[in-house]
Amino acid sequence: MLILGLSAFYHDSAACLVRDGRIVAAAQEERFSRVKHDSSFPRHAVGACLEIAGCSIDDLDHVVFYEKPFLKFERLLETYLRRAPRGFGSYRKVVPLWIKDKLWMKQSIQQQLNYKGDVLFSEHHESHAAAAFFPSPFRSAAILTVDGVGEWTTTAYGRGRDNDLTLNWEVQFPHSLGLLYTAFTYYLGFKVNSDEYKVMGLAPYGQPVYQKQIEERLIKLNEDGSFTLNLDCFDYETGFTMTSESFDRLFGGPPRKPAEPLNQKHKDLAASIQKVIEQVMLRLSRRVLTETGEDRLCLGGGVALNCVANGRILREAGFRDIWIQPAAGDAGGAVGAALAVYHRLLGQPRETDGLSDAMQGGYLGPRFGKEDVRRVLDGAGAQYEELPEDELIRRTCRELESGAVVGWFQGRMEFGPRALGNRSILADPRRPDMQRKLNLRIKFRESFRPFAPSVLEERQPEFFESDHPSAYMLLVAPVSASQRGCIPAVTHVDGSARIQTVNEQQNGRYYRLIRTFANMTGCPLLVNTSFNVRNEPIVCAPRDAYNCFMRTNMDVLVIEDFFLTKKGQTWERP
Amino acid sequence: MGTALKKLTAVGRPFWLTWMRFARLLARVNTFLLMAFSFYVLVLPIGVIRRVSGRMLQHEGWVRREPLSPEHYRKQY
Repeated sequence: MLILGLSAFYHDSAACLVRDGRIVAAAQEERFSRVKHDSSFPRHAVGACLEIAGCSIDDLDHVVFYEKPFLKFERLLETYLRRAPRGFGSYRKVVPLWIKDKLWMKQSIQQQLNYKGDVLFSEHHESHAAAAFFPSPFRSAAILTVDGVGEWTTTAYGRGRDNDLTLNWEVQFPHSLGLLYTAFTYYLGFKVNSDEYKVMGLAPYGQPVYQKQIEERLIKLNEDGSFTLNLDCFDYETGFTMTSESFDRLFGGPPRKPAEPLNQKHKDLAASIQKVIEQVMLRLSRRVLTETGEDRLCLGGGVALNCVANGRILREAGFRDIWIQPAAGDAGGAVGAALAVYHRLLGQPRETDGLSDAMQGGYLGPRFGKEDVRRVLDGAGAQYEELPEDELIRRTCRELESGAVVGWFQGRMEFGPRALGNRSILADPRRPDMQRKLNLRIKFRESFRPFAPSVLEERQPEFFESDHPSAYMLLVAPVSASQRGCIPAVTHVDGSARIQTVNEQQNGRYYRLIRTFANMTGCPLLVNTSFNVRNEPIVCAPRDAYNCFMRTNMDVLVIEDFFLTKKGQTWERP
Repeated sequence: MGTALKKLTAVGRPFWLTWMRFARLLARVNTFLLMAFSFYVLVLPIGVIRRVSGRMLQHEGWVRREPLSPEHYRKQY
């Protein structure tokens, strides 16, 4: 039984292939098209998934899209009805687009795929819920999904048990926690639906001095854990901007322009909205705990990528355990839609051992064989050595220890926004100058942006105030007081770190690399940041990796068994 | 025959391009007029009537979700 899940046409298009209930492949379109957050139909991602599974379109039993277009259109029309005469500017642009394209989704998908079977449709938040629960290690759990908006829903909760799930309660558009956070992303001069994580990274540099103002004027927190936004301050319903003039007046000025410097007020605003989001997420989680009686929680939707809030839910909400879908945003909707059809529509059983999840470490994308890599390197005239694994790891660790920045490209590409050791840039976390060097000389991005550590799972408690595995880098925990000075490159300004725990089952070669580094230096951690530069998607193929290596000040590149140093390379685009 | 066709194409091309530019402009004007008509003659009055009569869909706080049968996957709504 082969099911293809698709998410597309909003942001982060993706495809996922499920065979007999097992996720065999998943990938985001941006990695192939090289357009960050690409929203176009994921034809390359579909092609990659089919190739990985060794099948063709004709082998598919079902194709399922991650949301219901007619319900989304209904929401748009209802919003115009409610706001008229305001909104004509957006109406005349949006409605023709829907009439021409988006209302014909079924035909469009069939045509793009050259697929003759029926196309199925899941609901947006049901897709998030299914992506959060079905791959989780839990037999039964509470489910909480929070994002910008799907059809009508912006927040929902319910329960999952075995091969079924139900969402019982929801908060509806325009009241949206995701859109509130995005409004601040916009106001702070960052890209909407893209740079929300920058707000989270900026927050520790400020003080939450606007928290009270936000809670009094922008969002009403209800006793039952729900929330209501003051819509006068926002323009996202029918306008072209996220915030209104009332919002500007409240915070004493217009939105920051992207080129303007970040000042203390911007940092304080980031700190304030981050605190508010954490409060609301905690209240929601406690409500879900009380109402469902489940002591395990599965989180999905774009807001579940807020790892600071996730860390607080784990520590403070009262759940025994939590699991977060690593591709919690819309890309993960493709996974959820496919699994929802397999379990809910087709009634197929779901198996879990209660310990490990079904996301396979997130390594669900394409891999490239040794000969593919050699061809690319030879074509580029690259100077390289082919080494056995032991030697490859020893040489890499020696370079890391001496302060080199290493591009590390191995095995199957990660699915979701994080690089988890297969498409990563690595460095020594003990060096005080490493954060600045990586930001300015390698990634060409803002100097305030923090870096995350990959740590051997069994040694996590020595360095962090958490012993909860965090394989997908979705939990933030305080760095132990005794270690803060020892790993400055991965300790954020507030003494926290966004942790990735690594064990040998999930990623053997990456684990052995960190273990060898630990044997050499006593430090069982590495800086792990995604293998890309600012405003580009994470690399996918060896060609992308080599280009990125040559365009930046990276010192070493390791692709599969091939070891390259910058010295001796001549720049020739492969 | 081929040469005559080429000559005809060469002469006709500027006319065709001008016509297409005009057609695009016409399409934009048409779309604008249609959208303005539908917005101000349909959306606005219906919206006002529904607001005045209190029949506008808008929910605050928790809203109970209707249970979805597994068959809903076959529908786009």
